[in-house]
Amino acid sequence: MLKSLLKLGKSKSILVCETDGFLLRATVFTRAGNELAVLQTAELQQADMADAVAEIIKKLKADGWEGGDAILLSPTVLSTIVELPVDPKKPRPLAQMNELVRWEAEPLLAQHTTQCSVGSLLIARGYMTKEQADAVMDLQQGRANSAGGLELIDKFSLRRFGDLAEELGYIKRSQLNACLAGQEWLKSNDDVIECGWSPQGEVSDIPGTYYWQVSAVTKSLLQRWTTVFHMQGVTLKAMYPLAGSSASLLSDSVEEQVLIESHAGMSFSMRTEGNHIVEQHLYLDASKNPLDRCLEGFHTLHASNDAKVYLSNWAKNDHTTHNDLATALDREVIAIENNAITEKSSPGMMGACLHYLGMGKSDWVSHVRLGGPLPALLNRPIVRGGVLFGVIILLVLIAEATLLVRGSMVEFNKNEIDARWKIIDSAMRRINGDIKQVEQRKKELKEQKLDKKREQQRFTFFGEELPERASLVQAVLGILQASVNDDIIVNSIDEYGKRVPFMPSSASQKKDTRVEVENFNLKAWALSETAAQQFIQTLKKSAASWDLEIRDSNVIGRPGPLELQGFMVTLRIVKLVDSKSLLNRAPLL
Amino acid sequence: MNKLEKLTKSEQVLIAITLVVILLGAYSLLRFIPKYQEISSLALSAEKTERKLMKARIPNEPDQDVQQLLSQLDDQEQAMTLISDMADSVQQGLAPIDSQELRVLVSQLARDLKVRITANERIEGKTPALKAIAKKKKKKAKKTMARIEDTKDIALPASYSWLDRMAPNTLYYRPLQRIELAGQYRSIRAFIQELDNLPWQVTVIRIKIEKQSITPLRGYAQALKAELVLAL
Repeated sequence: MLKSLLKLGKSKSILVCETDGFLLRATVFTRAGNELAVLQTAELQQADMADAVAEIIKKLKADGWEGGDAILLSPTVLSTIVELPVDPKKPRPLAQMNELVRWEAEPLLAQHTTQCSVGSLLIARGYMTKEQADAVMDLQQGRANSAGGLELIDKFSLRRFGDLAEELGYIKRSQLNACLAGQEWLKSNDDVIECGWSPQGEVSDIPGTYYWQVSAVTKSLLQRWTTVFHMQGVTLKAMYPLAGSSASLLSDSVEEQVLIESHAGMSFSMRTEGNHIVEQHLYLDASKNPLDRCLEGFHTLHASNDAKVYLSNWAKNDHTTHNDLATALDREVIAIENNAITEKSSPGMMGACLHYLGMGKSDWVSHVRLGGPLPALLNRPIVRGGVLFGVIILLVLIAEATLLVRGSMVEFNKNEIDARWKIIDSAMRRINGDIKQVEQRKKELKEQKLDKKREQQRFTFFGEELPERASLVQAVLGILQASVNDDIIVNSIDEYGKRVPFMPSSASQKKDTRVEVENFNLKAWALSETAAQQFIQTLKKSAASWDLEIRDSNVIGRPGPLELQGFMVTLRIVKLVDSKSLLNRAPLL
Repeated sequence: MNKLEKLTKSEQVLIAITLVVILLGAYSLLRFIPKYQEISSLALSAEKTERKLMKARIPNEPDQDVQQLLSQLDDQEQAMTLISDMADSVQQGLAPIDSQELRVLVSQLARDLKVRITANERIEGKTPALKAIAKKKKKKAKKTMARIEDTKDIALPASYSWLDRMAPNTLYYRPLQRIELAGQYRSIRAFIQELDNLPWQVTVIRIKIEKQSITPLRGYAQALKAELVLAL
């Protein structure tokens, strides 16, 4: 998944350049599904590669390329197999691994750069033959040679190869200058190298030791190319070996496979077993024809008869090699073909592009990048930072989601409760308001009733009771006047004395529920007992018409005025009312 | 980028921790904690409301209608007006409190009817009724007393004496006048009778008549002594 994510992170189009020091070829590939498509191509032969790069990029941009990243295939990049006691499943730290690879690659790279000597370049370009080069070398080193005698040794021993070859008439000055200019972009005297590697299988006869495919180039050369591309606004991402990059075009297979890659002046051969590279060789001999170089390359491998043989032969180099090789080997040779391989885009360029974009067989090609190989994805600070940032974002999102969910739930709950409370509260307020109003009205009503009762009582008292009282007094006086005769003397009448309590106090009085509300005590004297009794009787009769009663009447013999014998009469004239009517007229408080 | 790649593992860890602390700390302080507190307070508020909701009891609807009560009030007011009118007419028959004019009229009446006033003093009815009421309602004594003090407006029933009923601080309060008279029975009775014809209401609320110890001459009426308490 990370790999696919990484794919997405890379740009859609990539500029792939290929150079042999004299010619610069460029193709812009773009991803089209699982395939590659060629967008623009350009090719330029120029002595100075800096100018060539500038021209090529200018041309590509003129054709519509928007710029971006680039990779470069160069013969100066070494690709080889080394044996390291490092298990790919337990890789060493990057720095340690870099040191190990560099230790192995340095001498091999030094040896590899000899192909970029002036002599080799002159032979490769066909400006002189190998014999002529040998002769010049012999002269330089003071050995006898057919080109001249020992007498020439003094003359040529301290001369440079190119100058000597020119003086001997093997080459022209212009050819030498062209080779020297090309050499500037192929060779460097710097000891510091940059490496790239790809793990392979375990060495069969040395347990614990594994094959590692290693690519290496001098750092100064890599920087020089990077600067040249950078000046044109293009980022050089990596350098690939000129030979061997088409291995990306092969597919995974545990069966034995042999890849032969044919180039001008050299051939690259590689054998895989169990999906790992076990051998790879680079054969350099510009004097031989491509078929011979391929055969030489094939025979350096220990291929079995069952091994599938693939030929990565750019048709531009030689059209007949495929058939010739199949005939010579007497076995099937599978040609590597692809729509993206055109006259201006070689199989190596396409292989490198596939490798860079992570689309092809990535284990069989390794590249070199400035600053060394990138650490494992999760060990890259930028990826770690990204992961950390992602984790923080995830935590924040989780926290936000939690807040959102909880907030929504709480808010929903609160709204629901508030709505219920609102209904109940409004009902309570309404009812309480009603109750308060009713209470208020009741209170007002009660007060009004009290006022009314009070007024009524006052009215009754002053309007009825007091006039009744006045009438009663007059009535009593009238009764007295009417009842008195010559045999009776009234001594006194008063209202002091006996008065019953509000309620009857004894059981015997319960029968008569009336209570006395008016009481007149009367004392009189009669000449005879009969006169006394008649007086009482008359009083009773008169009082009855006024609803009065005569109570406690007593007649006792007593001397009267002038010491006359007679009878003392005592009685009470009372007014009685029913106690219930009094209760109804209870005290108003 | 290169500088980033040159960082050692411990430096990377340190930077990572710092970034985590800063970013998560800032997020927590500026966003998470305030928001969480806001949600918590919202939840607390909802919980309080829910508790309130659980405890809330909707009171019963009042059994009486306000309109009905208002109508009753109106009726009461009308009745009150009627009673007030009647009370006013009664009130007009009563002399102003401490009316000297009425005293003069009473005195003139006595003189005109040949009744001699030997004493004429103002008295106040006592208020034993308050204590009596309090005794009768012991439980509510204090409360009742307090209310009586507040209202000063009690009305005693007819079983109480007129003096009690017309004592100060009662609903029926009137100034009381005690007069002692000397005269014949007819004069005294005429005097009591004529009290009704005075412009203001005067009522005898206590009466005591007794004969004087002096025996009258033959053919003359017995001289009487009367003690009256008048409610003016």
